[in-house]
Amino acid sequence: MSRDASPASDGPPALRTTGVSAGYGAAGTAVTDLSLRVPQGQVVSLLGPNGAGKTTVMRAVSGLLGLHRGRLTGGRVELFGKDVTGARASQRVRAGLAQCLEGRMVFPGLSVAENLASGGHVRRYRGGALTEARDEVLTLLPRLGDLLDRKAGYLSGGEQQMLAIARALMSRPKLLLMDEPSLGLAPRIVEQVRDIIVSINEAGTSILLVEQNARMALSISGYAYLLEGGRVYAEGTPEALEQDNDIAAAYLGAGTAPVTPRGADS
Amino acid sequence: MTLFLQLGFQGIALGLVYGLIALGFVIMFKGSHTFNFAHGQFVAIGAYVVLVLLPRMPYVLAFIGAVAITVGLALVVERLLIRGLIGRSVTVVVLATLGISTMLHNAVLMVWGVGSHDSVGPVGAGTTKVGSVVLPNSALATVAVSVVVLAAVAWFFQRTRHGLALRATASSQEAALAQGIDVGRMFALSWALAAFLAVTASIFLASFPRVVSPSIGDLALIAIPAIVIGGMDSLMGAVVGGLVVGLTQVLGSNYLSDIGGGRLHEVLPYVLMLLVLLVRPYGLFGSRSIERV
Amino acid sequence: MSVLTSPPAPRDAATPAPRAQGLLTRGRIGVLLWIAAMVVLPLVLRSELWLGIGILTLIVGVGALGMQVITGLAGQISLGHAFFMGIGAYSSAWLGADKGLPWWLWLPAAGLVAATAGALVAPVAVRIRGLYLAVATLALVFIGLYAWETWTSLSGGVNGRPAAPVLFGDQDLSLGIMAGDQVILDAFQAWWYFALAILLVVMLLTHNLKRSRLGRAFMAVRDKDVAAAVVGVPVTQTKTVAFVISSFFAGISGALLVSYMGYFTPSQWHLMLSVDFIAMIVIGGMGTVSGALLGALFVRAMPEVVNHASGFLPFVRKGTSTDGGITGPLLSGFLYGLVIVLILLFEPNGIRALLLRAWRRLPAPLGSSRERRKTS
Repeated sequence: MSRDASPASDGPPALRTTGVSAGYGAAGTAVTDLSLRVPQGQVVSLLGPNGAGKTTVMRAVSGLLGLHRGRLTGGRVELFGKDVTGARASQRVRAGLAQCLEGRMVFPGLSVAENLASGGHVRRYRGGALTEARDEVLTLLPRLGDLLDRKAGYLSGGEQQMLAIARALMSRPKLLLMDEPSLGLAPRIVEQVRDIIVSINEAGTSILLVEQNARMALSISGYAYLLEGGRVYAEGTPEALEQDNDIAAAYLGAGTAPVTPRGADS
Repeated sequence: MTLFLQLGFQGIALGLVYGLIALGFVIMFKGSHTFNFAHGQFVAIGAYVVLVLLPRMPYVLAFIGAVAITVGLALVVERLLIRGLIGRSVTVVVLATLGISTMLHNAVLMVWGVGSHDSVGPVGAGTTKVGSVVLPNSALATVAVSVVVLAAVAWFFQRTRHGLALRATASSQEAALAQGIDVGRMFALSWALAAFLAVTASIFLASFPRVVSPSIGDLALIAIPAIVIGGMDSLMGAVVGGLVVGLTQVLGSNYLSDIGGGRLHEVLPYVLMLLVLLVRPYGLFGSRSIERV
Repeated sequence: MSVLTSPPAPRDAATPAPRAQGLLTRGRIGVLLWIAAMVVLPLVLRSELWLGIGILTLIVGVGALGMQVITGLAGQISLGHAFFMGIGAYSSAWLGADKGLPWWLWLPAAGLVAATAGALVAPVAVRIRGLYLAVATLALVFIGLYAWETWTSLSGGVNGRPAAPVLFGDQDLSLGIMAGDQVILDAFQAWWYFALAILLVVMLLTHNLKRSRLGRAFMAVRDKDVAAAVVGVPVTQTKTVAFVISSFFAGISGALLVSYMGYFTPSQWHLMLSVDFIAMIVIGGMGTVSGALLGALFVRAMPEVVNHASGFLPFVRKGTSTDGGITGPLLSGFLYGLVIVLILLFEPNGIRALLLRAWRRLPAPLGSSRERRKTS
C-alpha cells in the first residue's frame, strides 16, 4: 500500500478530473469546479457529509450521470491520460474502470455466478477464460465460492457487498470506484471490506473510495479530498487532515467513538 | 376422447403461437421497461410482408425477409419514438405505445387495404393421423417450430453473453451500465428479439384461419391475458399463459358453443385474467415487485 | 446518495395552494372569458363541421374530466373508460328510448348505473396498480364489447339501436327549439347549449373536488400510495371513490354522446375510445380541468381537420381503401397516433403547458403581475 504523500509518478494518473461541474436538471449544480487526481496504484478517498456531491463525482467519472437525468456542465475527465469526458459508460469500463455502486446493487434475480459473469461483460471471456477470471477474483473473496449457485437476492448484506466487489473485479479493472462500501454493514464486516480493499490495492488496482466512514477510509488512503456543498473544501494526506483541528472536529469525527457504520443514508 | 385430443393439440398449437407473441411482450417489457401495446401491429406487418414476398421467393427466404423488415421497423420505432420516453410514467408509456399502434395500424391499411388476403402458411393443408387422432399438418408444424424457437430463446438467455447482459439490464439499468453493458443496445436487442418472435408467430397465426387481414393486429392483443396470467415479468409465464389462453379458446369454442352466442371463448381469456388478478395480482410466475411498475 | 441527486420533493399535497388575492384573479377572468366565448360561439360560428366538433368536444369533455379524476388526480391508469361510457349509453337508451323516461331522469341514471359498475369493479381495481391496472381495465373493454354484441335485445346487436332523445316538453333537441313557428335555436345551437350546461356543472364539480379534502387525498394516493397511508389517507377507500366518480362522469358522457348521435352500435365502445380519453388528459395536461378540455378539443378536432384537409391533398384518394391507398380517415388516424407520440416526447406537460408558456410571453394584461400559480 502506498501511503506516501507524493504519489508515484510513473505514467499518467489513473483518474484526473479538471474543473468538473455537474448537476441534475432544475435541481441546479451538485458539483462545482472540481479537480481531483488518483495517482496510479493509490487509494484516494472522497469524504464529506450527505449531499456534498460525492456520488455525483462518481457518476461524472463513470458516465452514469445521464441515467439520473444529470449532466456534466463543464470540465474534463481523464482515465489514464485518456480524455473520456463525453464517453459512454461502457467505453469507460473498457478503458479499465470498474465500480461498486452505492447500495451494492447486485442483480437479485441472477445467481452469484451470473452476477460475476456479468461483471466480465466487456472482457468477452470465452469458456475457460471466464472460470479463470472468476477463480482469480475468488482467491480474494473465497466465501463467494460456496455461494455460486445462490440467487444474489438471497445473500446477506455483507455477502452482497462482497459480491458487488467481486463483480467489479471481474473486468480486471485498473481503477476501481467504490461508493460507500461500508454502508449498513456490521463493524466486523466493515473490517473485512477494509482488508479486501487493501488487498485489491496491493494487487495493483488504483481506488477512489467514497465514504462517510471517514476513519476507515483515511486509515487506508494515501490522499483524501473533503467535499462540502459540491466543492473541495480541503485536501491532503490523512495525516495532514487529521492534524488540522477544525477539519478533524467538523468532518472526521475526531475524538468520537470508534468506527461505527452509519445507518440509512438519504 | 379423440375429439378432445384433437382439440387439445390444436389448443396447444394456438397456445404456443400466443406464447411466442406474449414472450415478445415480456422481453420488451423486461429489456426496455416498455409494455408495447403496438406489438400486435408487428405481428400483422410480419404476416403481410411474408405474403408480399412469397410469390417471389421460397418460404424460408420470405420469412427471413419479413424478419429483417419487421426487426428494422421495430428498431426504428424503439430508437425514435420510445427511447426518449424511458423513465416516464406508466400512463405516458402506455399512451405512447397505443399511439404507435394506431399509427402502424393505419399505415398497414394504407399499404394493404382493409380486405383480407388468402394465406399460404409454411405447410400445406394436409393432415397426419396418429392412432385415431387426426392432426392438421399446420398445427404439427406450429408446435415443432415453436418448441425449437422457444428452446433457442431459452438458450440465448441462459447461455450467451448478450442474453446474460439483457437479463442484467432488465434487473437494474444502473448496475448493468456499471458493468459496461451498453443499455441502449440492450433495449434495441430486446425489441429486435420481440419483432423476430412476432414474425414467427404471424406465419402460424395466419395459418389458423388461413387469411391475413388487418385484424391480426387486434388478434395479437389476446397475448395480453396470457402475459397477465403467467406474470408480466416471467418468460416462462408468458409461454404457460399462452398455452392457457390457446387451450381455453379452442376447447371453449367447441364445448361452449351453445352458450353466450357461441363466442364465449373470445372473452374467456379476459375473464380468466381478471380472476388471476383477483387471486394473484402478479400472475402465476411473476415477481411481486412488478406490481409497482 | 447526495441529497441533490434526488428530484426535488413534490409540494406537500396536503398543503392547499396559496389563494390568489381578490375576486377577479387571472384564472377566474380566464374562465369567465371562456364561458362568454362558449355562449357566443354557436351564434356566430356558421360552419357545421366546427359546430359538430364543438358539441362533441363539450360532450366528451365530461368524460375527459372523469378520466382526469381517476388518472390525473388519483393516478390510477384506466383503459376501461369506453366500458363505463357504454354502460351509461345503454342505460340511457333503455330508460329514455325504451321506457320513455325524460332526460332529467335518464341522464343522471346513466351516470349512476356506470358509477355502480365502477363500484363493482373497484374491489379488484384498487388492489392492483400501474400496468396491471391498465390491462385489467382493458379486459373490461373486451368483456363489455362481447356483452353488448351478444345482448341483442338491449343493443340491437351489430346493427345498433336508437338512443334516447332529449325532449323539452314536446320539443326534440335534435330538431332545434321553436317558439311557435319561430326557430329560436337550431339543432346545433340547442345541443351546444345543452352540452355546455352539463359540462359546466361537471367542471364545477371537478374543480371543487380537486380543492376538497377528498381531492387532496386523491393526489396523495397518486404521489405515493404508502406515504398516503402513513399520513392517514385510507388508500383503498379513496381509490374506490375515485373509480366511482370517474365512472359516473363517463356514464353521463356516454349517454350524451349517443343521444346526440341518435343511433349507436356496440363497436363504438372499443379500446380506441379509451385510448382517446387517455390521450385527452395526457396531451391536454394531467390533473387539471382546463387540460382535460384542451385535450378533448384536440382529440375531437385533430382527426376531423386532417380528414377535411386531406381532401385537398393530391395523394389522398376518396372512398375506402380495400386494397391499399391513402384515404382521409387513414391519414388522419396515422397522424393522430404520430402527434400523440411527438407531444409526449417534446411537450411532456401537454398542450396546456404549451399555451401557458405562450400566454406568459405576452405582455401581462390588466397590469397584473405574472402569476405563476397554475390556473385550472
